[in-house]
Amino acid sequence: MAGALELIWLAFVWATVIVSGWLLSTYLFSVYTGRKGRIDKVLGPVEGWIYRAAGVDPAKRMTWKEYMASLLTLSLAMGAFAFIVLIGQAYLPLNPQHFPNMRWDLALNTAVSFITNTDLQHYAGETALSYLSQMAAVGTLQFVSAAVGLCVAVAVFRGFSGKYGGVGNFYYDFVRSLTRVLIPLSFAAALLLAALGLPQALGGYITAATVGGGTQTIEVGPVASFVSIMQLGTNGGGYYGANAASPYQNPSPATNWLEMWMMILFVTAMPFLFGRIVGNPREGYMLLIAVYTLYAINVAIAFIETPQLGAGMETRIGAFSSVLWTVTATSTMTGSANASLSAFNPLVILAALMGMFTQAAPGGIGTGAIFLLLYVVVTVFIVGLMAGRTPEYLGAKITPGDIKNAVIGFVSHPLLILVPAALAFSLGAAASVGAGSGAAGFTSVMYEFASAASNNGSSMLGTAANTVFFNLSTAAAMLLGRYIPIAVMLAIAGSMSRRVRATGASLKTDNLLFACILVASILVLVVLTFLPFFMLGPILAALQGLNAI
Amino acid sequence: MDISNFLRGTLVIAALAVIACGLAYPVAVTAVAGTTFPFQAGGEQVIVNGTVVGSYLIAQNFSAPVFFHPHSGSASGEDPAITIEDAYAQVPGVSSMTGIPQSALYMAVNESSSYTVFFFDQQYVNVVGLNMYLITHYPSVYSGYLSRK
Amino acid sequence: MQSENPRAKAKSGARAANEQRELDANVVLRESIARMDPRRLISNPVMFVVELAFAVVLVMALDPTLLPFVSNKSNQAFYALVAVILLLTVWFSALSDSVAEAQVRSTATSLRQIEIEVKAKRLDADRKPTMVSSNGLRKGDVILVEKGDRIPIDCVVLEGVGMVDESLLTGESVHVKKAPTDILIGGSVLVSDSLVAEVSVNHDDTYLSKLIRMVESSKRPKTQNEIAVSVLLLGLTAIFTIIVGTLLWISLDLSLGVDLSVLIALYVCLLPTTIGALLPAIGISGINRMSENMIIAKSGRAIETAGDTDVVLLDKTGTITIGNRLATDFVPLGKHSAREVGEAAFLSSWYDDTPEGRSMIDLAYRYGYVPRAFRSISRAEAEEFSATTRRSGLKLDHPGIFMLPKGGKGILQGSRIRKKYAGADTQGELNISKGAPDAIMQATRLVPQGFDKAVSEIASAGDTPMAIAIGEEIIGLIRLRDKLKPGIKDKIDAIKAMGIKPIMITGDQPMTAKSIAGEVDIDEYVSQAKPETKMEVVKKEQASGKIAAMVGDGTNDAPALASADVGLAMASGTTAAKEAANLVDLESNPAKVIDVVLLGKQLLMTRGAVTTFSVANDVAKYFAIVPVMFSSLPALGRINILGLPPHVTVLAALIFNALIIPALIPLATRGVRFKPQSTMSLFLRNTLTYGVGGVLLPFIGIEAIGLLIKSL
Repeated sequence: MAGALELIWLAFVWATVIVSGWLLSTYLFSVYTGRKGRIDKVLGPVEGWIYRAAGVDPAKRMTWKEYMASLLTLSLAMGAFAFIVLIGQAYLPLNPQHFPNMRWDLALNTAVSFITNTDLQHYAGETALSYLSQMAAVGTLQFVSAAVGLCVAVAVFRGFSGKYGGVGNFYYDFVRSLTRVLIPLSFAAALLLAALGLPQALGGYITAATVGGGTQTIEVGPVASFVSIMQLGTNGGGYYGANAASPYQNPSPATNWLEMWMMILFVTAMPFLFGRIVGNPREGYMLLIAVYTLYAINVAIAFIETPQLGAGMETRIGAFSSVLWTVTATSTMTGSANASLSAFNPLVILAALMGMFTQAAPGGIGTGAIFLLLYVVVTVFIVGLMAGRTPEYLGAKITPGDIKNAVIGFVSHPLLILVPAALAFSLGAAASVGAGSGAAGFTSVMYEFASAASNNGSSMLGTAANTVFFNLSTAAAMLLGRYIPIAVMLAIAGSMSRRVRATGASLKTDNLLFACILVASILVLVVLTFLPFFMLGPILAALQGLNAI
Repeated sequence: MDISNFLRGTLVIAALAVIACGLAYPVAVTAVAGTTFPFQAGGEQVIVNGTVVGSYLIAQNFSAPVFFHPHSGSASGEDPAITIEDAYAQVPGVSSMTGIPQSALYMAVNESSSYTVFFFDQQYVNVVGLNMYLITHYPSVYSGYLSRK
Repeated sequence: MQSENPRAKAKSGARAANEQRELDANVVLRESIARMDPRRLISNPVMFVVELAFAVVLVMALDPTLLPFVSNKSNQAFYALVAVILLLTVWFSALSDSVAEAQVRSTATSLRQIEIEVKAKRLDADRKPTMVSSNGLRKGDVILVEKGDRIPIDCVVLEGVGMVDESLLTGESVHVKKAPTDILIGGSVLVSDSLVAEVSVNHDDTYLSKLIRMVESSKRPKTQNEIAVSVLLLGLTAIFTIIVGTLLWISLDLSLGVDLSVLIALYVCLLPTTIGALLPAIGISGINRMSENMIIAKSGRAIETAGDTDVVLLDKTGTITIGNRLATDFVPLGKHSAREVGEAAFLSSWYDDTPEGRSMIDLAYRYGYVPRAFRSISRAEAEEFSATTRRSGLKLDHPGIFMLPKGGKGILQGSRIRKKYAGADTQGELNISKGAPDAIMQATRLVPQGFDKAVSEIASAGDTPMAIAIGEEIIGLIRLRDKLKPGIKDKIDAIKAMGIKPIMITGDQPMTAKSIAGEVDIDEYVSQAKPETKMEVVKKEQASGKIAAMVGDGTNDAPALASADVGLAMASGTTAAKEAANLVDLESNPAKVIDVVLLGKQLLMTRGAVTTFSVANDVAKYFAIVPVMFSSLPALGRINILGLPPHVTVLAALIFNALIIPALIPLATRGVRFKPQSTMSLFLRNTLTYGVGGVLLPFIGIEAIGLLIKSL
């Protein structure tokens, strides 16, 4: 149980992030609705040049299928580029440590992992990736995947609102996401992080002669610029293998709280942005309340047992911050870690799994918001009938097509987690990475696929999972776990954008009652899908009084 | 939109994204950070007598008993921090080895300590910082250990 | 051949059907068993899967060694019990369908009796009338219809001219003159003269019969909403299949000691069997409940759309008010006296058979304002009421000597009239017209002083002023007073409470309309409505995203009925109206449009409630079964909150899962009970009942059944 100081501090952090998220949402609204501002004088010509160079018309209205096709092609092209850099980094410049080329299956896993905003890492960056790979390959993908997340959310919001004649134009959204949002914000945050102690250098590793008489390799690199987009874009991929437990990635409490704050910023702004785009800010407030309630529930589960500083945690970060970070990183699909997951009691792991199974508490950048809307559609449909009307959301009637799409989204998640997990045990792949048949072994394997399918990136297996089986199976889970939900939500939004809006006395969704019901419904859906596996994993471990690992 | 135009659009935007996000952005951050706060950007290197002996942020093995010791086996294995209780527990040993009065060591420990959540939760001490403080303030005690290598 | 109250007939019909139902029990039973044929069951995927599960457990019960690793020879009796309960689950589902369809059949039978029991006078070859049931009429039969008779079947007039009341709407509605070759619609009433007509259809082909057959037919297309629920159920089935499948797989991988029958029990408990079993019955019952209310829904969609209604167009006359406007006062204008007004009203109403017209004659009698009748009255030319001019009148060519009407005791006013209208030889003709004040005003040149004031005085009291003119001069007004229909205010309050906007449509003056609307708390009304007004209102509301419901009976209502989302036609109306509408009220009571809305809401609520309940139930079943299902993981037993032994828990959960289906058949067929209140209040109430209740009830139910099993 957390004490009063912890609660006050948590309330303070959340309050600042909510206020900032609200401010950010006003800016994002102007970015995506094309409001003119002073910034246009500078960026307008740059973007105009980009559109012309690419030969695209940013004003063209795309159908949801065109939007999806553009998004998918761009993502795959970027992923292929990263794959090539990784398997050929030894022949490429900016490799002062002369790291060898990456093995094909690991490179594939890594490219997929970063383009899907998962950032599951079966390698340790400081001993495997050249500067070029860190910056141009995985670093670029962190921007692209976050930008795609924002695009998808905005497109879906537009479709739901029914006010924009469709879902918008992908190139317009993507270019502006980078030029106006992610690059400037990451730049500012990177400088702040660098000032707080994160290295930012390209001169190669430094060998120090230590006081104790030994030598030490000081692994400096473009860390601040990397960590900045990693946290803002809910990517979570570490520059270092130890991720944010590494002192260079997270040297102090100041960086720890700043980085944690950065991972919640965008996902907090999204519900506000939704409210603005659909033209009723209250709709957004209620979604935000639902999201934070789910997030708080996860936090509460993690703090059922008072966290103790122990092996696997960083002393400068402390037990309280480690547990909160872990829940936040899994709930936001960032997946970064400032402590080893083996340090935690099973209930913290349960909370982390809850975050990854829910995917909307608050979920990843952009994708969290669309998952939330997926839950909203299903909830409005199931319970909305009880108001005695054909269920409507924002005035649009929910059709069998919507339910079909939503069901595909829901079915895919357990399928992508449970089938490969069962396969891992059957094929002996689990045993080969040391996952036994007990609660701990089962948890770590299920966790791996939950993380992959939800595009989280957090891992209990870590570099041990660098086997052909895990590299390929998680890559498949990451790809399908990313693009199936995006496709179904774009489909729902695309069809909704053309639907007649009723203005009658339908179920109101912009009130606390609906927020409560939404939370209850999400919990029921998650529990219904995953309870037996919670029982076989962390709950069993907790009952057996053992640690999850 | 025909397929070749579509692919051209994709490839041009992909190429520009690599240039902007993967090259220009980190290089620009490096340039600005390197000129504005070179110490932090360089990894907070500890330089003694002109040589790099480590980083304030990375734990290193202070084998001699005159130093405070970090604990390895935490998640990163590089954590330079120990709890303040741990540091206090090491004070008598360091004091007896160095002859520095315990009160002075306690004061040094306290001065280099901070909280994990700014004003509450665990109090910790950066061992590298603490040892460097001692090296700077008690050169006569420590010069031998430094010059030895 | 009296036209009895159709509802009373239906009630007696329903009683008969009740007796019939006892006999039908066998049919229901037989049919429900036939429905368990897997080939028929496949249309209900959830129950089909349950039947498959039954087959697997049956194999385990017969020979556990066929499925090694996941079964145990010593559990054979348990397997047999599980198999039996699974089979019962399937049967309960089949039973609910059969019961719902039996109810529909019996309701349809009773509906048919309304029609059947109309008697007809069939003319033989020698033109002698014989009393037959309309049921026995065939196309080509010749029948006699006399004044006051209900026309038994659609037919064509051969001889005679008569007035037919084609609408029970009365009030403004018209009596249509029918002459040879005109079509008579079954169910309408002849109000004057007598006619000879030829039956144009066989009994079974009447439009209403077609509608009733539609109700009966089980081949009912699924509504969008039902399809969406089915898709959701399929999705849930898929998710639970994945969960249970991988659970089995992982259990084998990790040797968790799981028994296949227990896993199947968990699977069946998780499947949305409750809503899966009751979904078809809920849809059928929605149509059935409409039919019980004497309303035929042409499709399930019509009922659901009714539930979505945002705006209801209510005709003032016949819906809000009884429609019998009675004259209560003669108001003279200018130099004229009340007597002159009364006499003119008397004369002009002579051929007016509407209650309104008769009330004027009655009132004139009571005041003694009876003119000397004149012999030319029989040669008078009556101008029928026209909806376009909104007036009627009487033209006398020779207003000569007035004669006292039969039984009249009035004072002769011959001299006055003679003086006023001069002699028969000099006076060309006497032209009396009466109608809506503005209509009369347009048609006359002389509007007396104080006309507007008098009109608005009457109208603002909620009464209808009717102007009366002689020749080109308006001589006064007649005050007509209508009464509110009993109970209409409550109904309007009910729909308003649910957020539905009533709009009153009336041909009355704005002042009258305002007053009546005020009496029943309707904020929006359209006065001085013309036949096309309803269409305009419907279009306007739809343009702003509203779902509009309306009532109509005449051919000129047909376009509006067709474009309204919910169109309720009166059975007494024209076939064009009935064809355009999606619902037909056999009682021809326009106020029932409100009941239609409430029934629609009830259908949707019932479907939502059972779905929510079914999904919420799963939570409890999960927490009951999962802690006891892995025999090699005793640690999980610590969260076995029911505290029952494993096999008992599984059986209790399965039995609860099966019994909840028949337990909810009454809810499914009768519908969720509700008090009209706002959408959000209804939502909250139902969510608490079926959502929270759905989570808690199974814990109690399973524990109770478990304790019972344990005690056996």
